Amino acid sequence: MMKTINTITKMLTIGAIFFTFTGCKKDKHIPPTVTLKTTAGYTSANATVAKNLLIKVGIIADKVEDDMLSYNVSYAYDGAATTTTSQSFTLSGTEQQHYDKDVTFTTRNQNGSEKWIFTITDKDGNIAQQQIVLTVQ
Amino acid sequence: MSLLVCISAMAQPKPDSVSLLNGVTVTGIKKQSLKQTAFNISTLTGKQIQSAVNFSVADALAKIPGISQITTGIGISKPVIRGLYGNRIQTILLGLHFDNQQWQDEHGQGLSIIGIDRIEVLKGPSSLLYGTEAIGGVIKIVEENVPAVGKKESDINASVFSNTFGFTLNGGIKKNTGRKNWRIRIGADSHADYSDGNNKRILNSRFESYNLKASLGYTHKHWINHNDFYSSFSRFGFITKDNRDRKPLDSRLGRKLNGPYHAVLFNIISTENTFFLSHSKLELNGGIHSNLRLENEGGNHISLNMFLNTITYNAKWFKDIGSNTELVLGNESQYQLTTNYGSRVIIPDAHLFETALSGYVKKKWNLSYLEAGLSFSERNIATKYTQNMDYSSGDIYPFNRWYSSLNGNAGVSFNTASNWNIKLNASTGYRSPNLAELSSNGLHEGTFRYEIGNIQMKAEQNLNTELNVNYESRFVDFYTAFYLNMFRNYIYLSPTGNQLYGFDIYRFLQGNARLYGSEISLHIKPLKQIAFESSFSNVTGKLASGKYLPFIPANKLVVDFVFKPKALLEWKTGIDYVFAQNNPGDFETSTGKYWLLHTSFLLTRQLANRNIRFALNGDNLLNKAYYDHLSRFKYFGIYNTGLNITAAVNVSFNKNNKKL
Repeated sequence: MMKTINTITKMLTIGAIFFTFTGCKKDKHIPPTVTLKTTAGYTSANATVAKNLLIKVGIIADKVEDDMLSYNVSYAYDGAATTTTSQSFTLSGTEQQHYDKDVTFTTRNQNGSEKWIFTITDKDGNIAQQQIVLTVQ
Repeated sequence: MSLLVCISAMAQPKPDSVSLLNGVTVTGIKKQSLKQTAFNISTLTGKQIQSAVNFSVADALAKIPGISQITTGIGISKPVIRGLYGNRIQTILLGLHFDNQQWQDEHGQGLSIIGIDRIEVLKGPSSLLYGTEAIGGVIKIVEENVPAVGKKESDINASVFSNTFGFTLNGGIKKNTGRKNWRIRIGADSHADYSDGNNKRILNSRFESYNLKASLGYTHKHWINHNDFYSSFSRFGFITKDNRDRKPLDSRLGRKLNGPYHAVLFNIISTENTFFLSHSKLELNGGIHSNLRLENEGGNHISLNMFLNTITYNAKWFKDIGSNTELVLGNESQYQLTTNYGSRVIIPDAHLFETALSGYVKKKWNLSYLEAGLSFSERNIATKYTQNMDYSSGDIYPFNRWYSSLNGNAGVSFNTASNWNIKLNASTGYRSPNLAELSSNGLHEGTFRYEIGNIQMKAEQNLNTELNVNYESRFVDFYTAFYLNMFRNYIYLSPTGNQLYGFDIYRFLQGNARLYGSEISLHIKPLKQIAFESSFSNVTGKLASGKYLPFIPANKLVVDFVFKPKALLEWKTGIDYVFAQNNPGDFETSTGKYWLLHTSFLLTRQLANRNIRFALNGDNLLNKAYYDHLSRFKYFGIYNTGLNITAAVNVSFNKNNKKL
């Protein structure tokens, strides 16, 4: 009986070695970097603006870990919970490593708030974004 | 043809033995013949599995009526039993629950066919016997037999696949001295990309698998002990919506995984013990299962790294009460720990604990059998604070949920002296929501859907009622199954019609649902050497709202002609006719009908001290380009597999081989 138990114990010990194969260190979540251009002519922060005003926003996105996949521009008016896509781009070639894009849109012809969200998604599904809130008066 | 298009099915393919109903199965509460149980159990023998040359266990099972597979290419597939799949199917391997983190559509079952004696499939819920997740059915994988006392056996198996330029190779050796037995088996599978019916190569559909199985068993006067170790490492090339045409073209035989891929490493240690007590029997099984899933989603590195550890034990006590009644009491418990190590996190770190108590009675009454049972189970899911969800600020905060369930089964199997067998069975099952259904809040890789779970989800509960009418005779066999499976709180994924940052938002929802259908098989044997075999299966899945459920297979008819001029020679040819599926789920589209021609040739030779079995198979002989409704590649415009010719050789060595 003891011999049997010893053998089983040996088997379990050998098997246990296989269970330690996996690492115990957690990787960090590293999305792409996204910044808004701050040079003249660009809007890059929350602001109060006029109705029917043409707004230009520029983003610079860089791959950190994974190639970038898409760029989406969405908006939500007057504090709405859901967003609506304004423009969407699929990135290819060198855009997947570095992406520089200007977009323009016009504010509504009415008072209210407009939240504009600029989202870069990488191939791993990681999302990075910037947003501005425009108060239209 | 019209004669063949008929009838029924408990859906077993034609076995080697004359009678299916007398074949012994081990699924269910104990070893018994199909006549003796009210459950609907189908069996694939090891010979059938090896001869048909399948890509995986799921691929082998898909030949059974009522069973199909959700595929993401050839390598990644998961079985579907009567329209239910994933966490609604319980796989039993080495006596333990096998969990391959199957909560996502593209997480395959991932089991190789090597070293398997047979596979048994119990259709319908059986939470009484197998706990939660056995809500749609149970797949029990029965490992190869211990050799007869004093025997040492070895074998080598090789097969090649024309479509994938693939091969499988495995060999094993085993010995039984009476008091002690052991085995070791090692195998490898390797496949390049597959080609569709237009001879278009499906880049990055390649896959490979390496497997090691070892056993050590002891037989004592009152105790039979069997211990197993199983280690498996597989890698599957992965195709996503955005990368399907971007991978650089390499050699047609290319196997290097330099694009997106999934890798799965699992190890299982199990011990199965039977103690013969003075007037009863006790079975005590336990084991540890580690499962590491690594996924490169196209970012050129492993980003999803999930480790699942499972510790399970189950105990069953068998007691005969009088000469015709037996009682079985059982307890089963399981602990699971899910941990994320990768930068990409789609479910939280979590603990899961489940325990169940069950009681079961079976009574023999003339030629018939009556059985009934009850079980009570308790399951706890407790998550930990988990950072790093896809969405930058999408941390998952801890939650703790308890799920209690009472399940039962009652059935009767009537047998007559004139070979009729009629079964009536009602059984229940339950399944708690999985971690994805509870806590998803991010992008589903590959499809780039934004999926949102709900931690308030209730457990699914179902009641399946079933009627089987079976008959066997010298010239005709038929098997029929008609079932109605009613679900409360069926969980499904549904598009909301909204978008988040350009991605469609899907939510996990719940509602009552029902699945119903039938399986009918007819075997006509006008001569000893000739048989016509046919089967038809259909299933419909609908929500109470009237919407159809996703991943419901199309109706399927299989007709075969079998010619067996000698005991050791068999030729089989026929067609698979798959009807159009015009009842797609919310995020699906209809799929057209198709039919495929197949043939197989099996030759067995017995030489002095070895048996040699040679099998030649051809699938999709007309090289048709088609979509199967359960192929996830359909939505990327990628067809299923084209013509595939396979050849397999099995050589087994044994000084005292038995005549076949």
